Amino acid sequence: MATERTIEDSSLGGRIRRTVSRSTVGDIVDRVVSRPLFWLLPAVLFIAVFQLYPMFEVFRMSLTDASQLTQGESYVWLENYRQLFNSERFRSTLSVTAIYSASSIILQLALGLGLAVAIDYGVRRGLRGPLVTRVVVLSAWIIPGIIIGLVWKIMLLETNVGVLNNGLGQLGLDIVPFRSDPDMAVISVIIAGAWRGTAFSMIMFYAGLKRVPDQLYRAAKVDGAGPLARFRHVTLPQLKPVMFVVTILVTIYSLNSFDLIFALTDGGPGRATEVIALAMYKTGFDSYQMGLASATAVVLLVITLTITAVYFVVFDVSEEI
Amino acid sequence: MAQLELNSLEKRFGGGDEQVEAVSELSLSVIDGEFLVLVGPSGCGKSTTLNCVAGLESVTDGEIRIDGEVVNDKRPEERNIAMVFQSYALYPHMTAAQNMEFGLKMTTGLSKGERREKVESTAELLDISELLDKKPKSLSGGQKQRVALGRAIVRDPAVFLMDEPLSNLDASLRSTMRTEIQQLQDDLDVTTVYVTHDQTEAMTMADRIAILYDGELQQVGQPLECYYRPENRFVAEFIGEPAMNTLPVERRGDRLVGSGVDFPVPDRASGGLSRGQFTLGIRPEAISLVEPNTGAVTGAVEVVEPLGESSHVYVDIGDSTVTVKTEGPKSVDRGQRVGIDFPEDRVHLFDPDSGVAVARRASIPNERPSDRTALTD
Repeated sequence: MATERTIEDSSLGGRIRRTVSRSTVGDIVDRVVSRPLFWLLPAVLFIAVFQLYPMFEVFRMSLTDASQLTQGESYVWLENYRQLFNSERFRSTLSVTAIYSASSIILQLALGLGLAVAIDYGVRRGLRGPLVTRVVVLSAWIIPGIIIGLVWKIMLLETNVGVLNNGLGQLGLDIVPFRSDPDMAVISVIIAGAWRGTAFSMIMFYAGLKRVPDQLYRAAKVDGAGPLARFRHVTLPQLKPVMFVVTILVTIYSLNSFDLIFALTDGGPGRATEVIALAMYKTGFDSYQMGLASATAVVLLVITLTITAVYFVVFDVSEEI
Repeated sequence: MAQLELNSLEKRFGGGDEQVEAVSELSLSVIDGEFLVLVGPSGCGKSTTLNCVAGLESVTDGEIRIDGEVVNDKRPEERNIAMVFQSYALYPHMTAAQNMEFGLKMTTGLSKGERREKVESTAELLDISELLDKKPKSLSGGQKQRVALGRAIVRDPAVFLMDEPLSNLDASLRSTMRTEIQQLQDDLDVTTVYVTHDQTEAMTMADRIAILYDGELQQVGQPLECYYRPENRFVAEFIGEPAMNTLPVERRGDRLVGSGVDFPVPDRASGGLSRGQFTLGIRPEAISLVEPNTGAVTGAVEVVEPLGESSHVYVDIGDSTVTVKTEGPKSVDRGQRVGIDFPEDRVHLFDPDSGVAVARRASIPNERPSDRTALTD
């Protein structure tokens, strides 16, 4: 050990002591940086401060009667949850969220996969410009949801100025109440959401498809599999890990949808398009009931976690992870 | 069991100015039960040819016949072929048994039980019965290759196509599998076209080999025929390890003279040879080291590669280097001056422009020294 060295030559003493202390500091640094925990620390701190603590705070607040109108708060425990589950508004919000999310997930997965397969099919046969195509499609995804909401609002305006209604008018059709009819409004919101989200799932599916080795398709062709059989027996199984990730992410995005719907319909007409995230926002910032809004957030989190857990079982991805 | 014929097969990729001719005017016939190896360097068109036969590539011109029937426009599964791929191409999400079964499921009306029976008997043949329930991920390279072979065999095809099936295996496994594939092919007696860039594989496995270069057929014949009687310089250099030595020479009177080379025109070749330039070819294993200034050429030893039973000695003779394969362990030292003897009957002469052989052996030696003397033009 360097520290146990006997120093006899006094003229060299200082230099040797300095060397020894430097190497001791070096040893400590070496030991610290060789621990995995050291490298995890920044991420752990970040998550703890910006995610775990706020999450805990939301959970705590959901047990209180915190309001933006009054100072102070007192614990009401499960009162907020009782109130939520007994309210007609919350039940309608849940069903709107379920309809919106289920339709969005199905549409986004189907359209995204369809587009990705089409591009991949073309590229494998020498199609040029797949990058341009992807950039164009992806642009739908990088535009903020609030802007997309506004763009769709203009498209769906219920006068002759609205792009769609103008077009329908040219064809001699009546004006369609895209946003003022409760059922039409739900459909409009679903379509606008899918239009935006499809880009994301397409990019993910395309990346997954590119990883499928060409030789598998060739082997399947020699084995006598036609285009549909190749899709069913080669493409889909190979896409399973991507499908799993995309499904989870699209589900989370859909359940938490806020910005686009906020801009497009603001939950209306009435509460026809009020999804859970929008209801939470309104409870907290329009009605100032932070405790109730926090309880809504906790319910949303539990729903999201439960569905994700179900996906883990359904997809059986234990082999891939 | 079937006969495979390629008549003036052509394959071009791309169009306009960027058109690339991958295979040109290839005519070949593989008889029933024959093991034909297509061999050549990368990009020579051998895999493209195989893909055309498999139906994975369309044919630009010419025709492919299996058992007399033109199959150009038939889909792969209608051609009654099975293929083994270089990187195995096993379906990763299926077990070995499902991989082998897939082709039967797609192309035959067999029941699940019948399919399973076929798979099991094939697995027994390949000694992979205990692997049937495993997925490719948990199999070793050699095991994967066996499953891939099984997938081809279970379909009982008329023609086997194998695209460099051993190139992903390590050296020792490769030689074991080489013997096994040969044995299997012998037992099953299925017409087989095997693609490789490895001339050792070609030499050891084939009934006949077809050597391709730049999309063109260079020579087709039995392995020893190609080794002893190469039709051109490319075949001479491609077949044999280490590669044949080639030296530029000029005929002056009854001698062939080049940089550091002075050698009598081989007797049997002298009549047909005009004056002019030639490329002299001689195999490293045909020549021996002698005292300096006593052989055909003299030079200094550059490198010695001892291989145990034999050594490769690289001798610098001025403008070029001659490789000599010597028996026994290291017998010479670096820098030592040595003479090299060219046995007259082992010398090949090629046209320097076209590369066509102008003097080569009349026949393949069959172990009797008296047969080893013939040289012809």
